[in-house]
Amino acid sequence: MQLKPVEKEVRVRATRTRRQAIVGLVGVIAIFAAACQAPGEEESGESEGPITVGVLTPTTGTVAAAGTDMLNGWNLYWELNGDEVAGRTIESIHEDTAGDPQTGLQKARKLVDQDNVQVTVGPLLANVGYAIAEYLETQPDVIGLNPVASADDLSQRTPVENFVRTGGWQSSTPHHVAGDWAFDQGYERVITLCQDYAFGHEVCGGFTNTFTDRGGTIVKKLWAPLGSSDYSSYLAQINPGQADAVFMLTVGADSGRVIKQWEDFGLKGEIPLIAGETTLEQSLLRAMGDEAVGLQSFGHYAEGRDSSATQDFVEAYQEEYDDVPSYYSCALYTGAQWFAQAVEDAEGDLSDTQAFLDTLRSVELEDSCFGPMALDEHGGTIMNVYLREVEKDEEGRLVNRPIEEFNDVSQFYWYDPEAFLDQPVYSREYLGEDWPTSCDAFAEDCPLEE
Amino acid sequence: MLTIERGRWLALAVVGAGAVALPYMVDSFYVNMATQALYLGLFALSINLIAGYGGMVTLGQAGISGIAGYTLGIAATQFGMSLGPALVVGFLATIVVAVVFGALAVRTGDVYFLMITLAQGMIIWGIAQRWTTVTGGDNGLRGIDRPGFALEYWKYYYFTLGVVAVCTLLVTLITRSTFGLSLKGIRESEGRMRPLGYNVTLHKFWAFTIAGAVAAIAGLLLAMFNQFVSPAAVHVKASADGLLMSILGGMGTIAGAFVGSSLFVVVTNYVSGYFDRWPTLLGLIFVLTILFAQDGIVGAWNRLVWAPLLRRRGRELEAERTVVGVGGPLARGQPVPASTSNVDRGGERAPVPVGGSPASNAIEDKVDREA
Repeated sequence: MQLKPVEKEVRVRATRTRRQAIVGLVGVIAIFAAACQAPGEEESGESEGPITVGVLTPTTGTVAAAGTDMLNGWNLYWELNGDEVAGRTIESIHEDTAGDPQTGLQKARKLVDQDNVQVTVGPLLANVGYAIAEYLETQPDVIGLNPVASADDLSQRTPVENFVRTGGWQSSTPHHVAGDWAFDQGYERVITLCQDYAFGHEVCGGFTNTFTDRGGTIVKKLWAPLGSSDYSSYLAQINPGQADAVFMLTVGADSGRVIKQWEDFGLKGEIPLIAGETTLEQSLLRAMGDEAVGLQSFGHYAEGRDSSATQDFVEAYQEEYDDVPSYYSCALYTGAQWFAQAVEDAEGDLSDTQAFLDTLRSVELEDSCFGPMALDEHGGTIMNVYLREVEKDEEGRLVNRPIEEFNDVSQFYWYDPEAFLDQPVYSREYLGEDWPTSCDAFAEDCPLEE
Repeated sequence: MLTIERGRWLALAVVGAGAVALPYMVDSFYVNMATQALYLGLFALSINLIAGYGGMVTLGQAGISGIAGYTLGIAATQFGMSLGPALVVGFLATIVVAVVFGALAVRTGDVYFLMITLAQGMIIWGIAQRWTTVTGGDNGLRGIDRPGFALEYWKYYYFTLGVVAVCTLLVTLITRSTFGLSLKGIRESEGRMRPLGYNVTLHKFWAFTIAGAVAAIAGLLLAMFNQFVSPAAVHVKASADGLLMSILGGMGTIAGAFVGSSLFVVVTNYVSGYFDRWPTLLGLIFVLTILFAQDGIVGAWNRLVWAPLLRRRGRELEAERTVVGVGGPLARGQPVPASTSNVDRGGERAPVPVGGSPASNAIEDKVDREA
C-alpha cells in the first residue's frame, strides 16, 4: 500500500512517540525491579593476615602542613618499630581529606568500601571528625582511631562507640587548667581573644569556666573570625590598664599574624599573655621569629619535655624529616603506639570488633611523646597538661619548654562528670561564666567563694 | 536503519540502563560516587538554569541549597520532626529564601548579580558558622536520617536516581517551553527583549526561584546522603564548585551538568587516591576547557560531532522530503540533488520563494553553509 506523504509523516511521528513512551516505561520498571533485589553483600574483618589501616589526613587545602605532619608521625612509628605486631602486618593506605567534611566523608567511605580497611585513623579538623564519626556509627565493624580531632562532645555528650580517642585530647581540657592557674597568679580581670568557631569557643569556654569559678572576671570577650588578616582592630581594644592578663586562642596562619602584631602594638611585656594550645604550636613556631620568644601557653604537648619518650621521638623525627615535630606528628605517632599496644594485648585478634574496642579503651600508655595517657569511662583522655614557654634552642629554633606540669588531668577537671555533662557544650553564647552556682557540681574541693 | 533520532534515543536508553544496572556491576564505593555525581549534577543543573539559560552567573547557589539541608537537619534534630514533614519544611523554607534572595538579586545584572549572590551565600554561611546553638557552628549538624526505604547505599542510589531523573525531566520541559525560550532571549539580549514586551525582571525572578527549588532538592539529597551538614556545604567554595561543574560540562545544556559533576566527582574521589596534586589536575582541566572548549564538554561534542552529523543528515532528510513531496513542486519519485532544494532546514515548512532563480538559490545555499 502506498501511503500519502502526510499520512506517512503522521505515522512515523506516532510510532516515534509510542516508542519513546515504551522506552521511558521500561526504564521506570527497571528502576523498580532493580530496587527490589540487593546487590552482593561484603564480608567483615578477619583474624589473621595483614591489618589494613586507612589514614585520613588533609595533604591539600588550608591545613595541608599540619596534615603532612600527621602522616609523617604515623609513618615514623612503623618505620622505627617495624610494621609487624602480634604476628600481623600493619598496612596503611593514605587518603587526602582536603580539610573538607564532604571530601573526608567520601574518602572514609572509599577506604571502607573499596579498600576494605578495618581500621581508620584521623582526621584533623573537628567538623571532618564529626562527619566521619557519623559515618562510622553506621559501620559498627570498623574501628576509628581519633588522635587529633578534639571536639569536646566526641567524648562528652555525643560519643560514638567505635571512634576512640587514641592519643587524642579534648579542646577544653588544657584550658580548664589555664583558667585555674591564671587565678593563682593573681590575675582577677582577663580579656579573652578567641577564634570565632567551634574549636575557639570550646577552648575559651574551658578557660572561662574555671577562671570564673575561682572568682575571676572576664572583662571583655573578643572573637576573631578564622582567617582574619589583620588583628589591629582587636588588639586596639586591649587596654593594659583594664585587665591583668589576656587569654588568646588562634589557629593556623592567624597565630603568626596576631603574635607579630602583639609585639608591634607594644603589648608584649606590657600585659601578660596566656595562650592556648594551638596559638604557639610547633608547626607555627617554625615560621615565627623573636616575637614569640618568652611567650607562655598551655597545651598537652611540649616538644621540649625532658623525658626519653618525648626526646627520642623528637630526635628520630628530626633525623627523618628535618623538622621539630609538632603536636600533630606526636598525635599520630602516639595513635600508632596506642593501636599497636591494643593489637598486642588482643594477641592480634580483631575478629570481634566489640571485644577489640574494649581492649583499645583499656590501653594505658605509661609514657608517650605527650606523657602518660589513658581513657576515662566516657572515652575522654586523661593526660598531662603543660605550661610551656617558647625558647630558642642551641640551633636557633623555637621550641616549647614545659615550666610547669599538671598530671592526670581529666576532661571534667574538678567538676562532677554528671553535673558537667548537664551543661551545653561551650559555644559563643555559653562559656560557663555563671556556672556552677552550687558546690554540688564539684567532684573535689569546692573553689567557689561562699 | 540507524537514524540520528534513533541513535539519540538508543544512547539515552543505554545510559539509563547503565544507571539502573550500576549497583550490580560495581562495588559500593562506585555506587556512592555515582550517587554523589547525581545530586551534584542536579545542583549544577540549578546553576545552569540561571547561568546557562538565563545568563546570570551566581556564586551563592550553595547557600540556597544549604538552607534546605540545614532546615532539614534543624527540624529533625532540634524539633524532633519525622523525615517526611522535615523534608517538606526544608523545601518550603528554601523556596521562601530563594524568593527573597531572587527579588533582591534580579534587579541587577552581570558582575553586580555575581556580587549580590556571593554576599547572599556568605550570609547563609555566616549564620551556619556563627549561630552555634541552632546550627552546631563549625562542627555541623549530625543525625539526619535517610528515608526508611532507602537506608542501604544501593537503595539510596536508586532513590536519588529516581528523584534526579524526574527533576531533570521537569527542567528539560521548562527550558523547552516558551518561558525557557524567552529566558534564552533575555540571555542573548535583554535590551531587545524589553521593547518586545517581555517582563525581563519577572522572567529572571522565576528562573531564580525555579533554580532555587531544584537546588533545594539537591541540598536535601546531599544532607540525607551524608546524614550530616556543616558550613563547608554552604561555603562559597561549594558554590564555585557547582559553577565549575556547570562550565566544565557545558553551560546551557542539560547533560552538561551531569557530565561536569561526574568528572568532578571522579577527580576528587578517585584520582586523588593515586595522584597527590589532584587540585592542580582539576585546575588544569578547567583551564584547558576554557582555552579550547568554552562551551564545555557537551558543547564541544555538539559542535564537533553532533552538528556536522546533523548537517549531513539534514541534507539527506531534505532530499528525502523533497522526493516524497512535502509541498514541493517536483514530481514524486524523482531524485533531486540537495543543492537545488528550497526546503527549510527545520523541515516543517517548505516555502518556495516566489520567482526563485537558480542564482539566488545558489547564494542562499552558500549563506546556509556558512551559517
